[in-house]
Amino acid sequence: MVEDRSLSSKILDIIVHTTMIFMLVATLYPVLNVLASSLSSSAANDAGIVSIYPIGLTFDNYRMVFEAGKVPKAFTNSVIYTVVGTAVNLLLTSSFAYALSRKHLALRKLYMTIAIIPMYFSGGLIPTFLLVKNLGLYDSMWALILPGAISITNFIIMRTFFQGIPAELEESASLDGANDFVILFKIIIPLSKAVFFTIGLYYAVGHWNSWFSAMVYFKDSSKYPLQMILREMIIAANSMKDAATSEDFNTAADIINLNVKGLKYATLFISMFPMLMIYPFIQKHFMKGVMMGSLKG
Amino acid sequence: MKKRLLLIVLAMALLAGVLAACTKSGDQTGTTPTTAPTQTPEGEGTSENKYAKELTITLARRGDSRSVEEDLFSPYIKEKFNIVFEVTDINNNDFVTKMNLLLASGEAPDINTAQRPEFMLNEWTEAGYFRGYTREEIKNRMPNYYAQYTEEEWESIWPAISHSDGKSYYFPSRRAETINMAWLYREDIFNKLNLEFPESTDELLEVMRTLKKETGKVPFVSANSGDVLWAFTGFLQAFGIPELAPREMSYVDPVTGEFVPYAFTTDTFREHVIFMNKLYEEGLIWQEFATGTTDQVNAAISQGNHMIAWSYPAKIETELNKLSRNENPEASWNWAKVMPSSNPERATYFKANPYYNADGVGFSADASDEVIERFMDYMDWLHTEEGMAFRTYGIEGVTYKKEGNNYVFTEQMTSPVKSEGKTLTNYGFVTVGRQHPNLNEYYYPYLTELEKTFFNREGYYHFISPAMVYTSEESSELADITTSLHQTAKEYYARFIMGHVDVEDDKEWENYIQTMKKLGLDRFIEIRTAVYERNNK
Repeated sequence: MVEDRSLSSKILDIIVHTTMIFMLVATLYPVLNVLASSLSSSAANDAGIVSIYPIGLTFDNYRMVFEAGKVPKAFTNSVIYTVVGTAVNLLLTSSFAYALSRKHLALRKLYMTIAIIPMYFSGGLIPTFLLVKNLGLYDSMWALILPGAISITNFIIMRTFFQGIPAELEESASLDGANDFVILFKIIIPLSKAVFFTIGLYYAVGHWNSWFSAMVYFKDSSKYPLQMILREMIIAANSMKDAATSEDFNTAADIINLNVKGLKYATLFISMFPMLMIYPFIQKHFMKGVMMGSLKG
Repeated sequence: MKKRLLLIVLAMALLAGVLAACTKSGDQTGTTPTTAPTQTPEGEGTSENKYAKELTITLARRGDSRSVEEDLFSPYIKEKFNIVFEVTDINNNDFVTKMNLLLASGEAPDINTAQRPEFMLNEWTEAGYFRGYTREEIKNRMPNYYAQYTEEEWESIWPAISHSDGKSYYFPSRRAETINMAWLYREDIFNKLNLEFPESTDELLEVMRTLKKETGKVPFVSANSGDVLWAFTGFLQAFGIPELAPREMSYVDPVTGEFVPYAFTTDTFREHVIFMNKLYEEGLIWQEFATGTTDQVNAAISQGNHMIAWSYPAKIETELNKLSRNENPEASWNWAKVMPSSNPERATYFKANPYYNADGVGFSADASDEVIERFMDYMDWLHTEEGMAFRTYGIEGVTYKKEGNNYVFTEQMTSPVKSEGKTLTNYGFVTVGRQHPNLNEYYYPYLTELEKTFFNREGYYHFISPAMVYTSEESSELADITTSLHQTAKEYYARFIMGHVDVEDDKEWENYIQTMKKLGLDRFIEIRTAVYERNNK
């Protein structure tokens, strides 16, 4: 390969690299700032002088977060909801997508039409809540998992991916005596690792970051996921006024106990960390999966 | 063609199935009662067997989820009242959304401990979600609750908490302190510069100029990016406009007794804005007042700005000293024994709290009579000496001890003088009811001093919110007008103060008034005046 040493190529390189560096800084700075704030003293945080390195280095915030009753429990809850939720999502989405990718399936268009309708019309919050309640899912983990078990966008990406797998592979397998399950598990799934990782990541990030469903469907706060606790802590940052204006000492004491800025950042970082760790390992599948699924509609 | 027909038939069958399911579900929700069930007669059962049956009572609480380390509350209440509480904590920001869902779906908790007028109380009452009681019924049913206010106090409270049908759907307990706000100042700097806290706005201006000149810092740092009308409420009060005007909008002048239906278009308000503009132009207030966040305000204070504040003396230790000492370890805040006024010869205004808390108890219409009866017994007990001590201090020997006549928190507990430690919620306490008066007397002596300083002081007046009970038509008509008026008032407020629009120019002021009139100011004034006259004359 001949290297292009022309002026226009060099200018282009400079523009590309500058843009990439800018984007890197813009992406990395907030993460480093959160990490640095979580490791800084309360005085430094109050003074607003923490940038990307800790000032008055302390691990107290992390110690307090892990000692405090709510965060470890909420972290465990989040892990369970994410793992179980993603497994259910992948199982149901892939089953549905695989079936609809097979041309010989009867009423394929009807199923597709039915699947697409909720993309345009949603039931609304109260009807959905009533449905979940009447199904007996209220205040249960399944209220967070089952209503969104199949995301239609992800289903379409998966179906398109499956359609791209040559039918000849299946035909030759069935000639060798493989049934539908053998074909699915021995041929289709191993060939679809990329899309499973990609869609799995979409679902996992969705579950990990979700708080609204927990707010709506949980009565018992011990079932809250980490994001819900984190949200409470962030809102509590504005609660000093509430604490001071509170008509009751005990309420004020609860608010003040929650309102430690360093704790907020430590919890924020803890909530980011698992996803930060997962991305690098899935990245290689990620690009492939999205590209293959998105080329055909 | 056949295939298409089959598809259409199948789709219609599916649709019919969905509609049938919806109808069923609709029938179920349609059972929400529109009138409060009747109460069981009093005196049912003897005291021995009255609580023989265990009752589970669901209860909504406003606030963040709490971690209970050791539950001392539940066994106590179980033994005394045979009640098991199931508590749902709802974050302040989500409270109305979640309560609406629960109410609309028939999942409403039996008791709402955060019933507040601004949380759609009127709408929920009109929809029949809560039980209403007359004053007489409350007096008979919860005598200890009733006795926390004198008859004279009830005369002023009842019109404010009751609905247009003469019943109340909101039962707040007595507020612990009558006054809790004052002007605060950096005592170390004032002493060093030999300054006295000002008693007039002219003196205030001079003091702020001196502070700026001598320290090079901004004397007053405050911001409210959500609603800028809340940024300078102390200064509003100095001009004779109540501190809570951004929320209440109407007020009664305590000197003349005149009703002012809308606070933000009066000449008094204009004088206030002219003054604020002067402070802004001279850099005496923080320039980011309309956009600053809490973190930015704290950072500015930590850099040595902010030497005068309209705030809560409770914040001196928990916030102001802590922040200011980031810049100067000798920093020391105190509360001022005087308040500035734009016309001290006429009146100086201070803020007194209403007799009752903002949060009250609401009894669900869906709850059984048995549950409501039992909870009322519990609530009534919370207003006895024993109940108040339990609810405020917890369990004797564990969370508090008696020292003479005083109740004192034990070592492991947080207290007003010690921010580290456990709170009663860590022991599972659900703190509805009245705070024991001893807590403020023992731990917050400055509250008594505040009372002594400002109440019954010559030339000092406080505002009393008039009773304003609206019909549902009035509420709904006002809701739209109020939003537009408030939006415009806060935009103009920021522009006037920053000098983008010259508030001293009569033409500009007239433009503002005309804009407000186009948005329904006259109708707003008409309705508010009619409501005021109907309820207060």
